[in-house]
Order: sequence, then structure tokens, then C-alpha cells
Amino acid sequence: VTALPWWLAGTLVGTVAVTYPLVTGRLVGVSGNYEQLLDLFRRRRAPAPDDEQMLRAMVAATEAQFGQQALPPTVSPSAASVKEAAEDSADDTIGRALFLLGIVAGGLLVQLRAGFPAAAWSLGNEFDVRFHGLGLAVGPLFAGCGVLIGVGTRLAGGCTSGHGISGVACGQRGSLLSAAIFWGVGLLTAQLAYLVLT
Amino acid sequence: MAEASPSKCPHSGTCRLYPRMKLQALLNVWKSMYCDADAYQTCERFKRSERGERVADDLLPNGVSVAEPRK
Repeated sequence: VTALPWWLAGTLVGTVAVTYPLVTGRLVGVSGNYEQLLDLFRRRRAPAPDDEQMLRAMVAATEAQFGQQALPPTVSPSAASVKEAAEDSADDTIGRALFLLGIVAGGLLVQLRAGFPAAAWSLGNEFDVRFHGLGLAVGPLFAGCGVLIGVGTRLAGGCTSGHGISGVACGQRGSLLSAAIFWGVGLLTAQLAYLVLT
Repeated sequence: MAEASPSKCPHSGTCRLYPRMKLQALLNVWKSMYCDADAYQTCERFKRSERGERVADDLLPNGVSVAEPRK
């Protein structure tokens, strides 16, 4: 297994966690970026201005909440605002795609540094000792673990990066709770696996 | 230990309604009253997100759901 030294990897992650919100206005979150990007293909979300029915409902709700004086003279979006919105949306999509591509590129760079060692299913000596009897079944095992991670991420409203790095650093209660749960359950699961597989 | 709260909603980067508010002048009032003010903590979207609940796209900060037509 090839990895960067802990001090370098930690520094890079910390640097991204601090600079990413400054550049994009969003907290770092891998699953959130992934979901939003996939959502474009799933639903092809269009900017709201061309959605007349939604707009009318919004106007009614806004008027009900704040009164008519809160509404601007016209509710029809100007061509300029639609263009600006479309550009914002495009920038947003490109930024999310670049973020995810950057993760892959970062992994490739680390491998390049190590001279591209051959791909392996192993995660290290300890892994080999515990799972040596599984053979090719380790593939479905990984896939199943991935599904469980996805379900947990969906339930928690974020992943280890969004909650564990960004949310905890910002002191968000939901992230503190989520991080405590997934770290705690992870530790417990590892100990149980150790007992069962020893 | 008391923590200082940001004056802008920390979820604005991931909120699905926030981009809509950028599109329409009529929605600026929601932004100024909720997202860009300390009142974001009373936003129903914020509260549900903090509780880890699913937040519908058509849920307004005051808790009213606006029926979004299917596409």
C-alpha cells in the first residue's frame, strides 16, 4: 500500500478544508459534491426562473409570509438575471466536477510518485492475515461495504469529509454527533471483527 | 462551552433552495431574513438538516412546502 506521509497528507487535507470554502463558499464534502453532480444527470435540474408554476407558488408563499411590500414590482426574471443564473449554475457544476476529478488525480499522483505499483486487493499485512481465506470474495465484500457506507452517508446527511473534517471543525452539532457515531461504531466494528477473525 | 455562531447559514453552500434565491429578486427577502442573518437557526430547512432529516427541495425556511411540479 502506497501512501503519503501522515504529516503531508494531513497538511494537504487541512489546507483544502480551509481554502475550499474561501474559494467556493461551500464546506468540503465529497458525497455532497458527488450527489449534486449526479443529480444533474438524474433530473437535469433547470434554473428556477423558467419554472413558472414554481415561481407563482413562491410568490404566493412570499407574499403570505412577508406581505406584498416584500415583492419586487415584477416577478418575471430579466434575461440578464437568467443568463447570470445559468452561468452561476455552470460554474457550480464545473467546480464540483473539478473537485471530484482532483481526488482521482491526487491518488494517481501518489501512485506516480511510487512508480505505479501493480493493483492489488490487499490493504496491507494485517488485512491479509484476517481475510486471507476469502480469495475473490473480497470483491463483493468491498462492494457490500461500499453500499453500507453509502446508506450511512445518506442517513447522516454527509460523509466522513463533510462531517468529520468540515462540520466538526465548524462546531456543527449534527456533524459532531455524526462523527462521534461513525468513529465509535467503526472502532467497535473493528474490535468485533478482530475477535471474530482471530 | 458557548460557540460563536456564524452570521450566515453554514448550509447555504449545500442548500438546494439557496441557488433559487440567487436567481430571483423576489426571493431575496428569504435570504436576508433567514440565510444571511442569525435567524438561519430558525430556518426549517436548517433545523431538519441539523437533525439529519431529508430536506425536500420545495420546503421554504418558514416550514411551508411549495408543491414543485414534476419534470
